[in-house]
Amino acid sequence: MTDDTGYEFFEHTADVGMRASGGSLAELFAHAARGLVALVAEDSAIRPAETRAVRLRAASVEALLRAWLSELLMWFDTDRFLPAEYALGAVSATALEGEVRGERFDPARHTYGTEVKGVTRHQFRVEQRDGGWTANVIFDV
Amino acid sequence: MRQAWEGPLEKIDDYRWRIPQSYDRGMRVPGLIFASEKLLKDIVKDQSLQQVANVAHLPGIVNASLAMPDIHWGYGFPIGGVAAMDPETGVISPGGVGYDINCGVRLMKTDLTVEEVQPKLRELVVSLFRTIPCGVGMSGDIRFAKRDASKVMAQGSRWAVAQGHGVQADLEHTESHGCLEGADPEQVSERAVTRGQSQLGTLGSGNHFLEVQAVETVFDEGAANAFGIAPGQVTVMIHSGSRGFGYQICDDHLEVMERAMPRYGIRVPDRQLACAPIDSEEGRRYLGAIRCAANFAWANRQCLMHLARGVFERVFERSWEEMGMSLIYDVAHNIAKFERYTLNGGEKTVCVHRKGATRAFPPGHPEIPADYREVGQPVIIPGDMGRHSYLLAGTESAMRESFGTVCHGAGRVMSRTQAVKEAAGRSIEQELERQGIIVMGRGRHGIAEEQPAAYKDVNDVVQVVHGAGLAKRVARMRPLGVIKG
Repeated sequence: MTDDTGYEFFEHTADVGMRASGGSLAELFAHAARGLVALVAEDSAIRPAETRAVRLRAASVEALLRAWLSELLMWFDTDRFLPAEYALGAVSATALEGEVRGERFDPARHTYGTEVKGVTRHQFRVEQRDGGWTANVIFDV
Repeated sequence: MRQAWEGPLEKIDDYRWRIPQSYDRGMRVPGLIFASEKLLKDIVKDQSLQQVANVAHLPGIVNASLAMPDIHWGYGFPIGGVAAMDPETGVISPGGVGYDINCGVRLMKTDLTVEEVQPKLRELVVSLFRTIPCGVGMSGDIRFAKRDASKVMAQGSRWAVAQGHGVQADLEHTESHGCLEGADPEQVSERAVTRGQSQLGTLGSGNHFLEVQAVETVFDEGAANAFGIAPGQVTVMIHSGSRGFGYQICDDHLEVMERAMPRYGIRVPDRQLACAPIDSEEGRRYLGAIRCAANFAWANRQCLMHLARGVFERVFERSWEEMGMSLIYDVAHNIAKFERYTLNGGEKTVCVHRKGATRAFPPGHPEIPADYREVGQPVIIPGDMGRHSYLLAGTESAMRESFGTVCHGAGRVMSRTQAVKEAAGRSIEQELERQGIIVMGRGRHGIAEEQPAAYKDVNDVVQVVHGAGLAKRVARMRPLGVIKG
């Protein structure tokens, strides 16, 4: 259902809808993050220059995906950090641990995309089917 | 994902439509949509009317779940949605305010004429674009120390003016004087302060903009005189909100309310409508926090206006006072506030949620500045960057019918992806330039996403609120130059 990047955007009148998929939860989370970065910085080439550790807990897999995407938004808003690579070793339905490599936004090399205000709960879904995972997310932009 | 509306829609008159309460057993009140037949053709194409029905499920909703003619599909509430709640039995919902708490618009007049500005228009727009931080991830020069954060939150525009970013008269012409009482910085997370710290005096991206305009038509000379504008005069409109500070507050409190709902026995048809009783710990904490965000947003627009005045001073080599650059008014269009209305023959306070809707108080209302009291509150309705924007004045009818509320803009009709597709192989900038409008933006797709065709015609939207008597047309402006994030 999603193309080979692991995510695709769908029509929403005011905001942006995204469907992401992955063979595992770790892959789903990485693909969803790539989709978010594509919104914020379009097709900018991002170098994996800086490594950041991430550790999150949540009550459900949906809350965990929302917390993950919100965390990346927070990094961008505060330090302009853009992720490029994800080494998510352990992703369960309620906890995530791993590393993210990326660099800070550089207007000389990177493209300005859309400011994402939040990861909404409207029609937010994470589902397991056909041996993989899919997620449906609407971003407020 | 677009699902057309298949539910009932009853015509009341040319400008009013009803979703009967019987449509869904959970609805506590009917839906009331202000729209024309022309606008409804697009409105029924997405999920916005379902969202009007969903809002009608919320406990304590009074009279109706309302929608303005610029309604479109949002998340939780529709954009253009209005709901008043009983403070004793009702709920407050972050979904009824949105992430961008106190997103709003301000309109500043100048005494400059189009003829005076035209020869320097390009220089002016370039200079505005270079001076005013805009675009995703841009931080501003106006910073506040962490220890001053609580002052920004508690004082709003007053803080900005005390720092020298404006004058006392600006506060008189701002909704609620640019400061809501009852802001409680204790309810604001460290994350929100961190996100907001570098974003004061920044425009943002998406549909936020700063526009230099020309007053094209005056419909009501008396009101236009009171607001200080006449045909041929140049105005400046600013659209921005509470930036990352407000987004984080919304997110934090949605989380709290989603967890608290079962405890209060509240069930909602969409998780983004997560809410808590107004009269509850969670409700009070959220109210304390959104007032901080509302105040941050007013400080932000005050700082943006101050930056714009500085640019005009450099380009025209005169002081902003000499150029008559006074603030006409500033309105919030994403907000929840307590207001008093006559309901069932008695006076009652309700909590009005405005999600993409503008307060429009009538002549004589005590919250209107003294110099506008005879004509009504100025209501600022931005359109798209190729057509028009409006200045309206509030009326008594809006107090009776829509909790003193009207529309907030043109309303999107095309998704962002669709807009980018439509713009493929074209330069929207060049097309606008041929119409005499200079547009500058940072993003590759930003201008395509915001192209005029992505919006309803604001003239149609304003026709509805004017025709329905909710507000009256005062003046119409056309864009000369626009900067976008």
